Formats: sequence, structure tokens, C-alpha cells
Amino acid sequence: MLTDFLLCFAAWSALALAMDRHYEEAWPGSDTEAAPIARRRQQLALTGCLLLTLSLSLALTLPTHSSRALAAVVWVVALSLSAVAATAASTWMPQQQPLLGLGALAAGAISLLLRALA
Amino acid sequence: MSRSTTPPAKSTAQEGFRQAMSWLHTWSGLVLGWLLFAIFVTGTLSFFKNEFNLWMRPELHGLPAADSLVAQRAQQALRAHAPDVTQFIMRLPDPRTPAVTVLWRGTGNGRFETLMLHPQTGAVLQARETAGGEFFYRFHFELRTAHSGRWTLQGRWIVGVATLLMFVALLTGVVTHRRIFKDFFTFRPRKGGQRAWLDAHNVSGVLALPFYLMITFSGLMIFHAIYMPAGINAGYPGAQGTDTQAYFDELQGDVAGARSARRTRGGDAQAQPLPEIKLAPMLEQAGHIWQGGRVGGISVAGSPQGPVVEITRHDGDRLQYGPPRLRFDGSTGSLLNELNPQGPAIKTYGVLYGLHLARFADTGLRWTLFGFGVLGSLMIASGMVLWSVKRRAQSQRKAAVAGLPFDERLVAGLNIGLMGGLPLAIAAILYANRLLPATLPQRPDAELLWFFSAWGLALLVGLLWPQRSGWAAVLGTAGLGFLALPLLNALTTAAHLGASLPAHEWVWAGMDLSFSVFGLLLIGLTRHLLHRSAPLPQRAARPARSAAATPTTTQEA
Repeated sequence: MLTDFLLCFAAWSALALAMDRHYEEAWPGSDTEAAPIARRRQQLALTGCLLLTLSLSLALTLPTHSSRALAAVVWVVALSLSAVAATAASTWMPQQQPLLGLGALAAGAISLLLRALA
Repeated sequence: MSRSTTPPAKSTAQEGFRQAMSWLHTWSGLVLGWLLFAIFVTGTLSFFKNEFNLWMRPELHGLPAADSLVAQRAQQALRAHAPDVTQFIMRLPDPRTPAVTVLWRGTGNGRFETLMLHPQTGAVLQARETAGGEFFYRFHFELRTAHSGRWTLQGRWIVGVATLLMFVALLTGVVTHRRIFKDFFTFRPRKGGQRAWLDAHNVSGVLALPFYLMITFSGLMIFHAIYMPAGINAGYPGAQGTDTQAYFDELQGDVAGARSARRTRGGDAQAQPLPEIKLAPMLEQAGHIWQGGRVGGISVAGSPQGPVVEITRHDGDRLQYGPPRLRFDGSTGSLLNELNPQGPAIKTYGVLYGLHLARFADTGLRWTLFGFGVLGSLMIASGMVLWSVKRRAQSQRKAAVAGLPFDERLVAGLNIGLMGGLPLAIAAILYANRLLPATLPQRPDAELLWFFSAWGLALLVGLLWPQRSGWAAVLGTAGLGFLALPLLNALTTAAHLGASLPAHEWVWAGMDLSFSVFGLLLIGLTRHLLHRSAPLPQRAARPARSAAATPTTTQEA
């Protein structure tokens, strides 16, 4: 559940920052339509999609639950919960969202590593 | 079909479609919205049905955990209590339900009676009569108004219609609020007014959409036999119309007429009292077959060939509902058969059922699903308020000063009474549970009376004062009620925070703490309502901002 949540939160944060409104709230004053930033936003969108796919495939291949079906259910729950958390971050701490997303990604990687070692 | 003419024609058609869906979304939501809110809230509470059942029976506080001999000891205690027992269904304790619950009947009137037993001594436990968490659970699918259960079939039909409308509202909502994916992470509470309500409705609607679709669809599917009987009528013909029993037997992996320890209607007049059954070897075999899986319950009934024992696995052990069962011959102890149907249709149904009940969920997952239920309730509530807010904005655009027209007054009042009043009613039933005398006859019905009276009172307040002051009065009272609940608990029982916190009894302490937190939230909301009431006329006088404002203009605002 925790790994799913962290990776999905990182993914949703990337997808939020890929949108012009949230990009500008995170980095005030930036021209979101300028070519380099538009490209960066595209990369963020791609990263978000890839992270979502990655977290689902990890949840299904490294199940921590009694069955794969349960692991999928837990992943969907984590997907919604992390979307709520990412929306809360966009609403109340938009400037910290990039950092929160990166932090979640790092924490997710660490928790995966710990599971692999255990 | 040239390229130049198709796009505009298509977009008009799309716009027409969206308009039609918008109409459907508004009215399917509004017509039964209050009922849906009540169903959603009580259904959400049902995720903690066992905990409510326990909290509302404080006499059960402090029971120890069960050991491996619990089933044998409970059987002996039952036989001592009722030597003529002909059939019993025993639910073994788990951390959420510490007592052994036995449903049994004897040679007398054939009616089932309930017995609660101590998990270690087998002593019969005396607890107050209460509606318990079962009331919220029953209300959410059959609108139960009396403890004994009346109009339950009618209630299930009404809930079914409401659920279908909910499903329609969910699907059309995705079409109507076309910006939900563009505004996926957008919530602007500081903007206030219609914008903030629309954001709240969209965000609460889209973020947990998989949960809402699942819970609504599976809710409809659980009662498929009531709502869509034609298939069963066609497939299971019987001597007198339809052999529904054969259908359900097959659904549970059985053949009609097999030796079974299931609960049957009426009872058998010639049933003989059961002999003592040696349960230990059967439980050992079950543990072996299920590789350490938990045992949920044991059913025993007589049959012409001797007693039959069924051991049911704990329903929290897998996603699919309808846990596997092992059937034993009660006299020889030999395994008769293993019931665990896995056909595609049965499995689909079982998984939908299991997802709805969420028995598989551990504490963390259970709280998360509870949170989604709360979010869904807020989605419905914000949609209902949005209807009023939108109407108000439209009518103020036409005429600057206008009193509240009758329909808006009515909707506003019903919003306060039926939605705001529900927390008050829930607080009332919990107070009734602690304050009513323990020996009162028909005590559960008296508890229900408190529930519905409080709800009715809130409705009266809402209809008389359909403004912020009405909301504040109802929510504030409920907030104070919830905040004071742990205090009342400490004054009337021994199962209070002073006892449960030091002993780390989280099931007990969690209830009291949750009530306080919820009370604080409601009081915070009330303060917010009272403080924001002053600048309201000024806001209303401002020209209504178009909902389709572009992101750049909203940024500047």
C-alpha cells in the first residue's frame, strides 16, 4: 500500500505539474507556453504516465498481498488516495509540489529496495 | 461527409448530447439526492459495523482473545444453556469481534435465538439490547425503520431505484462536468460561491470515481435476484413457479437437497437434539486444507443420516465473498465435500460482493475506504448545494433583489434537515444507547425513535430557517454532541478512554477518539459558517463570474 501510494503520488504530481495552471503556481512568473517549458511539461506528462504504469506493474509482479486480485484492488485504492493527496498539495502548497513529488519518488524507491532486501 | 463540414456538425451534436446529459445528471441527482446521501453515509459507517456493534454493547469491554479451544468450549456452554439444541451457527471471535456469537434453535418454537459467549470461559454474556451498528447497515440497503424489520422488501426496491439513479448520475456526471479531467487537481476554496462548490463537487467526484462506480454497481448486483428475477425464473423452474432455493444452492456451490447445515426457514418439527460433536479434529483438518487460513464460523444441523458440520473460512481471507466451506459428517468426523464454487459467473458475483462489503480490508485499507465513503457523501452534498447556489446566481442575474422562491427555499431547507440533520441523528442514537435504561422493553426501537426524532427535528429547523443560521444550528448541535460523547461514555460505562487508552484497546479508544475528531470538525465548520455570514450580501451583489472563465483570467483574479 505504502509503495503504491508513494509512486502514484509522484506520478500524479508530475501530471499536475504538466498542466499550465499548476506549473505556473509551482514556478510563479514562468511563461508556460514558451517552447522550453512546453517541452518540459510534455516530459512531465510522459513521466507521470510511465510512473503510473510502473507502479501498477510493480504492484502486480511483486505482490505483498495474499492474491494478485487483492494487490490490484489495493493499487486502485492507493491510486485514488494519492490523487486526493496530490490535489491537496496543488491547493494548499503548490510551490512545494515538485519537491513533494520527488520526495515521494525517492521514498518509494527506498521502500522497494527495502522490500527487495528483506 | 467531407472534412470541412463534419467538425461543426459534430460539435453541435456533442453540445446537444452534453446538454441532455446535464439535464439527466441534475435531475437524477436531485430527485433522490437526499436519500442517496443517507444511504452513502450509513453505508460508510457500515465499514465499521463490528466496531459500532461492540461500542454499543459496553458490557463486552475487556474480553480476552480466544485460544484454540474456543469452539469446543462454546459448544459445551451452548449445550449446558440449551440441552435441546437442534441447530446452531457459531461465529468465532476475531480481533474486531471478541465474543463468540451463537445463533441457535431448539425443539421449541423453531425460532433462532442469539447467544453471546465469553471466548475463554464460555460463560453466557449479558449485554444491553441495542440496534447496534446493524441499524446503519440495514438502513443503508433497506431503509429499516423498526428493529424487527418492516417494509424491508419495499425498502430494498427504493434503495435499488436510488442506486440506479446514482449510477446514472455518475456516468452522466463524467459527460456533464467535461472539465473534470482538465481540472483534475483543481480546487479553489478561496474563490468562494459557485466556483468553489463546483470545484468541490468535481474534485470529490473524480478522484475516487473508481470507488463510486464499484460501490454503486456492486450494490445493484448484490440484490440482482430481487431486481431482475426473470433469468432465475427461466433457468430454475420448480413445481410451484420458481425454485429460487435451487438457484441459491448452486450459487453457493451446492446441489439442491444436499445434506446441509445451512439456515433454513421454519425449521424441522421432527428435529432431534444434537449429540456433542468432536469439533477439534475437523478444525485441525480445516487448518491443514486451508494452510493456516482462519476459521470464521461453524454450523451444525441434524439430517436423516446424522448431524452435519460445516466449517466456514473467515470471510476476510480473500477478495471473493462467499468463503469456502468444508462439510463433515458429524458422527464419524469424515470430510464429505469441499464447497468453493469458482465458475466465471459465480466468481464475478463473489468478487463484486466482496468488493462492496470489504471484509478483506485490514485496518489501514478500511479507513481509506471509509474516507472514500466520506468523500462520496461530500460529493452528493456539494452537488445538492450547488443546485441551490446555481439557481440563486441565475435568479440574481435577472432581478437584483428577490426573496427566496418557494422551490429554492424548499431545497435549501431539505438540504439542512436531511443532510445536515443526519450527523445529529447519528449522535442521537449513540446517546440513546448510553442513556436509555438497560432493561427498557423494546430498547432497540426506542433507540431508533431517538434517531428519527432528531432527524425530524433537524428537518423542522431547516424548513423554518433555510439559511446559514439553520445549517449552523443543526451542525453545531451535532458537533457538540459528538465532542461530548466520550465524556458521556466515561460517565456511564467502564469502557472509556481512561481505561481503553492505557490498555491500548484501539477498537474502543478509536471509536471515542473518532467521535471527538468528528465533533471538532463539525464545530470548525459551524464557526466557519457563522464567521462567513457577514460579507455574504456583498458577494451576492458581485456580478456572477462565468463558469467557463479561462485559466488566465482566473489566474489574474
